[in-house]
Amino acid sequence: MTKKNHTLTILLLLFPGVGYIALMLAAALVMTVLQSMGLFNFTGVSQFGFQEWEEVFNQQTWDAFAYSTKVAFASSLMCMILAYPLALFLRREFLAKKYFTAVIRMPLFMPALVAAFLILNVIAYHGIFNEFLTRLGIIREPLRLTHDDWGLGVIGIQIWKNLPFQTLIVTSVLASIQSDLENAAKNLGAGPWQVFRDILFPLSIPGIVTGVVLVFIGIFGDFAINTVAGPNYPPSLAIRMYAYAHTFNDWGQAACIAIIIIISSMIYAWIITRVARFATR
Amino acid sequence: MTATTRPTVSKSSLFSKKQFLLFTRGTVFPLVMLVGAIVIIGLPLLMAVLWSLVDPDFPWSYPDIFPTRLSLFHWDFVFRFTDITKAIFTSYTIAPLATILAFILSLAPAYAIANYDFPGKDAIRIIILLPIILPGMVVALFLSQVFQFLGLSQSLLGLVLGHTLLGLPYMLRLLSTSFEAIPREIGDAASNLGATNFYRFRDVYIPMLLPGIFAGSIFTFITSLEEFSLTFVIGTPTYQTIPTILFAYLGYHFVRTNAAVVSLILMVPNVILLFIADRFLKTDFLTAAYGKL
Repeated sequence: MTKKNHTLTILLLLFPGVGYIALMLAAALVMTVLQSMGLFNFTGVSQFGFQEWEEVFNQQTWDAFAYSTKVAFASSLMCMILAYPLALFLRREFLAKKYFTAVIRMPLFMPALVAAFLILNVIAYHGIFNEFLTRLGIIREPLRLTHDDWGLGVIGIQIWKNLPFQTLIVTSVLASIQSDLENAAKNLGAGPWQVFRDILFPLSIPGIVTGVVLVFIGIFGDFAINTVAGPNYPPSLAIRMYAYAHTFNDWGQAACIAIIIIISSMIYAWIITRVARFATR
Repeated sequence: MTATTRPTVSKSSLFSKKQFLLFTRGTVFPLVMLVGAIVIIGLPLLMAVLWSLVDPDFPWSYPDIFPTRLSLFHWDFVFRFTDITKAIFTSYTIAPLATILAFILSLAPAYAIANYDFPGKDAIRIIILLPIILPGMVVALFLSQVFQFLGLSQSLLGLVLGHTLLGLPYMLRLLSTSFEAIPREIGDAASNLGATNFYRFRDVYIPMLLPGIFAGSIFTFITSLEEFSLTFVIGTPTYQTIPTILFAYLGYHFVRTNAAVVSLILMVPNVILLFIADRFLKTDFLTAAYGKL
């Protein structure tokens, strides 16, 4: 078999699945870019230009952008802070580990809307969480946690939903670190804290960052959870995009916001990676 | 390694400090964690079950911690007076079709990724993950525009094609991991013994791939059942699936009891599938699907 023939075989083999994804996403992205430039306007006159982009940067878009950023950073950071000790705990053998693992994995298989509903019930104004705290006397009046201006309800739902995923990633990254290194350090007299600080933490960061970035991007572009539990104003970027497209039938503006979501996700992913690299230096 | 040993009562029948610490570390702490996990994960589930069983004649409201009377009224109501039966039917039509299509599309690429080295393999891996990395609503909205252009909007075919796109990353990853686990020599040995490509595939690869196919199918199936954004944009109002019905009860017409019923209809099969998969698959398929991204 000649070399050229070989390349052709590989390309043909890859085409069905990979080609399907590439073609569909490319079509969707090209459509987004064209519509943000005023083309492919199904409801009005199509005209090439940047007028859509001049319109999109207004106060409401900035509010939505700031809100989405805040919620995504808060939730993904909390997720990582909670997932890391949990993953360290799961490295050990302990009583009823099997059941513990099974229980904490369950939210992984909950659809976003179901997760939102489950948590909404608990944190509702007269929900069990508020009742518990009031009866214990920790707070005098129930806290308003759903549709609150800070997006606390959304953050809570996102943490509950994404924590198992983050823990799974941290666990698999920690498992891939060779135990020789850890044993060597222990033999040389390193305590648990030193092993963590000098070996586990720096070696696990690159893998963990991928998980944090994925969780972050998912929360940043969220539509469903913000619709059912988010504040009345500001909306998340995805809600604003959807409102433009379906409520106002203004696909040009929606396309601009779609591009803002994608590009800012990429920039944030880059920033998170840089910060992590800086922290382990 | 002594973490799970129970402390023995010493002759003076008093715990030494060391034994007490071991007992705390090995037994008390894990139990506290387990109870904590059960409360944090289980309590919301219990609340949903209770809400779905509230009796409308004895409403569950403020000072009661638990409903005073339970009934199946809302289950009956949701099945009798809403589109849920139709939505269940649509959901369970789309999911198997998308799973089969994803499987057919994945077989050859997964084989290529596992067995050949070629330039740009990392780029291919990233492309495969894109459908789950890109924000769902962005993909949904602009894919719907492309579908509109092609006349696929508001059609069952459009929904199946869209759900296939979102299931493909899991199918491709799980199948290529299973292909990688098959030793190269086995395929070569079959060829040496005169097996043609077809027989080599049918008699050697497929049986060894079965766990991977199973795991990939479950993931794609669940992804399709859960999918909201794409169905919402491309399918509604012509086609309702279970998630779009749930969204209606959570958003514009917030009815907690009905939402509880629909949540359970959506969630219970997922959890059952998860436990089946966990029981029958030796390898940790969750890590294969999500880990080392």
